[in-house]
Amino acid sequence: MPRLACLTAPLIGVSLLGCLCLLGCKDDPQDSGAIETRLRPASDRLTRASMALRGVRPTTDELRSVQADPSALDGLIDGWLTSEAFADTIRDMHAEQLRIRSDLDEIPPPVGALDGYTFADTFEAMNEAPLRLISDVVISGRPYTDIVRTDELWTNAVGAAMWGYDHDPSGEAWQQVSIGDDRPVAGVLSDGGLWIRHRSAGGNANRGRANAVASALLCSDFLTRDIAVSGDVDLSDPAQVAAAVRANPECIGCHQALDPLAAFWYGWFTAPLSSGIIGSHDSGCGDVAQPDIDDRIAQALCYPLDLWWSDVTFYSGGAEITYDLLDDYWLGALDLREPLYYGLGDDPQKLGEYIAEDPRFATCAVERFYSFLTQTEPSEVPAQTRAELLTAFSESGSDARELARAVVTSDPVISTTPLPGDDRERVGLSMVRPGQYARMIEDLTGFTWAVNADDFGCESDGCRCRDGLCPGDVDLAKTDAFGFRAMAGGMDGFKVLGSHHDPTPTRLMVYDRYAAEAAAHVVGSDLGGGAPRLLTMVSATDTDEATVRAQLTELHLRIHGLFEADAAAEIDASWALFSAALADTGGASGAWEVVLTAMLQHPRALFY
Amino acid sequence: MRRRAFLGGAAALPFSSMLGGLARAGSTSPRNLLIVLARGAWDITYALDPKDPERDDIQGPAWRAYSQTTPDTTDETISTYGGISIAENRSERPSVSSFFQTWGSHALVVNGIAMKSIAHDACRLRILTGGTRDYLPDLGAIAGYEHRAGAALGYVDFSGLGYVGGFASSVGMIGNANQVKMLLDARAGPIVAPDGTSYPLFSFGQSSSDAIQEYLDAAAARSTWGLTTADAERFAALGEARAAAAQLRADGVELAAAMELGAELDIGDEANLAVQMLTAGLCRAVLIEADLGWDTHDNNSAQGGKFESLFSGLDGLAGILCGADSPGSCSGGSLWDETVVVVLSEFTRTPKLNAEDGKDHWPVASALLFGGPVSGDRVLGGTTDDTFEPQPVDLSTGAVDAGGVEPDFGNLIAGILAGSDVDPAEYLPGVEPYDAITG
Repeated sequence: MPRLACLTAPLIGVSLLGCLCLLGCKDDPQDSGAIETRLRPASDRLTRASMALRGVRPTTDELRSVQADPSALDGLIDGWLTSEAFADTIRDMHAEQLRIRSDLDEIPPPVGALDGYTFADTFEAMNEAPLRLISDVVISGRPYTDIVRTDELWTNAVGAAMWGYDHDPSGEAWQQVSIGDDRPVAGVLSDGGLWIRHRSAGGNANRGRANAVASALLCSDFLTRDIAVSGDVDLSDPAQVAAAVRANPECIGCHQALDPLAAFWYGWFTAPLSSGIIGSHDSGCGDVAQPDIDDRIAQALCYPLDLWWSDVTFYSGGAEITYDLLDDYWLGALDLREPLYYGLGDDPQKLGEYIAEDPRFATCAVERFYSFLTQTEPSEVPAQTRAELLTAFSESGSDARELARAVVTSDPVISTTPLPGDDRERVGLSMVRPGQYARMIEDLTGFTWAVNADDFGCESDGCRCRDGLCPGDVDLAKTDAFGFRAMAGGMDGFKVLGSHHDPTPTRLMVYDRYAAEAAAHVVGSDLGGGAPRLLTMVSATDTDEATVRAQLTELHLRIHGLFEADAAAEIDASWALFSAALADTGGASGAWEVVLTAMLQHPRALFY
Repeated sequence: MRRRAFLGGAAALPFSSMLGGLARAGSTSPRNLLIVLARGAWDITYALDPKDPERDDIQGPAWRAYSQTTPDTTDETISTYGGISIAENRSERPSVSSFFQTWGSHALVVNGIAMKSIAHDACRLRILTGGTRDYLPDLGAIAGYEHRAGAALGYVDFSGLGYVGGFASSVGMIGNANQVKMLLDARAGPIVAPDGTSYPLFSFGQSSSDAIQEYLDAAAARSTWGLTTADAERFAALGEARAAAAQLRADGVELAAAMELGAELDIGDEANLAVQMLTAGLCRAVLIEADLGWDTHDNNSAQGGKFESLFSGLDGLAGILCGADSPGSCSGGSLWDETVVVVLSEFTRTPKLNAEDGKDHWPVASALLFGGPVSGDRVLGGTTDDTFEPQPVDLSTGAVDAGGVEPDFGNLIAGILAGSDVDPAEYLPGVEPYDAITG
């Protein structure tokens, strides 16, 4: 793209810029006009920030405000950064980062104290708890490091029964609770649900959990490294492995860093699989009076779950070691590494502090936020951008809201061509993620693609229930067991380990179905006497061109961010579609359903 | 693009002749690729890489319990079919034997692939892509894109385990519960909202549907608000994906009718569906998962039953592709002549049993390839009999050669790409292909 240098007014719209360029452009990077006109149009910058931060389109009022005064965007962003929609975005982002919200993986079964609930309920309780903690830290403006330092967890009523927490039934659905035992105080790292998702086999001594944290929070994934295992180490022998990771030159490169981190998880019980939970409840939850190891496991796997065993250690260097229950069961006799974080003490209670103080934590946060909000690879964050964002993040006191603001207002995001001397690639258009599409559709139309999965695709009631345990109500935009999240480019956190941001045939077909359902919903509601969301200017009988065109003009602004002056061709096309659909369906309602189905899949609805 | 064919010595058709279905009848060129991933990590000593059951350096299927001091060789033996030696147990794993007995002349085993990792996800990435970057396309995405010709899609990922890279606009997914049926047929169901409302709330007549597609195509053509090179690429991909979706809707009517919404598919079901898609020309490459619970950290002897299920499925798949029960009787012009099946797993399992009678992860992999275009009765590479490490090989012959190289996942995938008429240098630059795979 050649650098444009037009002598035009600041922040002029790109379409107008194109016309003026025909009259006389020159390639002059020093020209001040060039610096201003290389910005994306104000309405596009607004839409881009709104979709990235909130997952919803800007309102018509917001569009008009920024059109009149582009500097109004800053004030709007201020408000968005404390909104529930931004909290949703933060939760979506961290769900990907932590690889949770996977409904293809183990979900605690609704038995025992959870009898009467569904898998959808237990799934939400397990997966949303750490995300609620993170979004609360971010929205409240506390230092982002609190996500690994706070001594508070979050729970809803189901989670309270699952973990044995207090929950006020008269309060909010999601509530803060204090950690009630002596597990490490480390924010999300103290959340049991995270360690159901990320299990480490007993013999792996929590290395899998440690790597999940190193990857998610420090952007340091041990598993990307090549290893060399020689045949003289028997990996099936825990004693040989324990010796090798301390002494074998092929092993210590990774394990001298990984194992001291893994040791912090020393007390977390290994894998509470669904079958184990059901079996424990069926067996009566073990003998409480004189428990042996099997009784204790049975107790641990009955609700409320007891997955933190403070008397279990995998190392021998701690002050107090209790192997009584486990001598012959797990790895009690092995000499594994102590909880040391690159030499920083041996107090497991300080795990979160050590992670928060690691310089990689801030750098990783910058990369994660930039990557998620701009749909680029974390490894591809330009060095200059990383440095600028780190400065903004640091100067704000690690306020993640300011980091997010800095990302969406950074030069590669808001401009189409760089400033002189800046060789960073511009951030191209982003494609709406499935979670964003769901929020955008709900915001525009009031529709959510909710389904009772108990009867999914079958004629008999409850055919998807097993032994009385039912999947429950799901949102097809947010599930992979029944719906379309990964099929629409999202990640399931279990098989699909990364989202992608390109149009695929399947993704477009998902959005097509979604748009049709939403269109039908909003037309029925708006023309049926409900408070109108989109069809604010027509009745169920209006079909005259002037009235319909006026409504279309408003719709193109609301859904696509296009003002009338820039939307003439779009309005003409939409009117032509309305006319054709009117003839095909025989009424205004049908015509509007067709038109809105199309408008909700328009490139300006799918990209921002 | 280098011209290669799996069938050694066969007269090769120019690649252009494969376009548009022109060379379907009588072609010996592989243009369909069907990948079967045994996710979880199989124990190759149960079939593809047999070890002396009397030795305990590497405890194969004659060793079932940690406490065993001597092997139980009842029914366990090593047999050779054509040039392929397998670990055989006709009581427990008869389908392994019958598969190689029947299809061995068109089957190729590659042993001793160094994976350089023992993590499931990392090795899944490596064995499917030949690399370590998750934003690059895997074998199926590449082959599907390159050989797509007139198909609606290049690649269909049944499992969600694949990597689409830059070929997203030609890749489709089925969904874990056949959800694609809902996308192909709006009236598939029943699908009911929590309040009892039935979906779909609205579906179009054909003329309205066509009008919407025309509207969207025109809108994409008008969309010039993005100004970067990346924006232009996005819109190009949007157009390609929209066209592919439209073709899939048109060509996928029979497919939708054959699918059951909400069904849990086993390997046989998936293979049948995959063949149906290849036959209908909906795609050129497919990834299916042999989801049999391979990760046997305890009770490794369960591998026997899993291999029986896998090879029973593969035997059935070969028969469907062939249209008969042996290669010599395959229907003329059948998919058998045009399809290569590649069976992979992340890695194998440790040489010895652990205290739970299971086996853990071991950074060596094997691959099985079969199909009409495959020059069979061959085993390439190998592992040492005492330490279970990859042996160096001559990549041009597959023969163990002390002066050769230790083949890794990159060599393997580059070799399969080369054998699929795809220039591996375009996708795995600097990686030497395992040329012996071509035969």
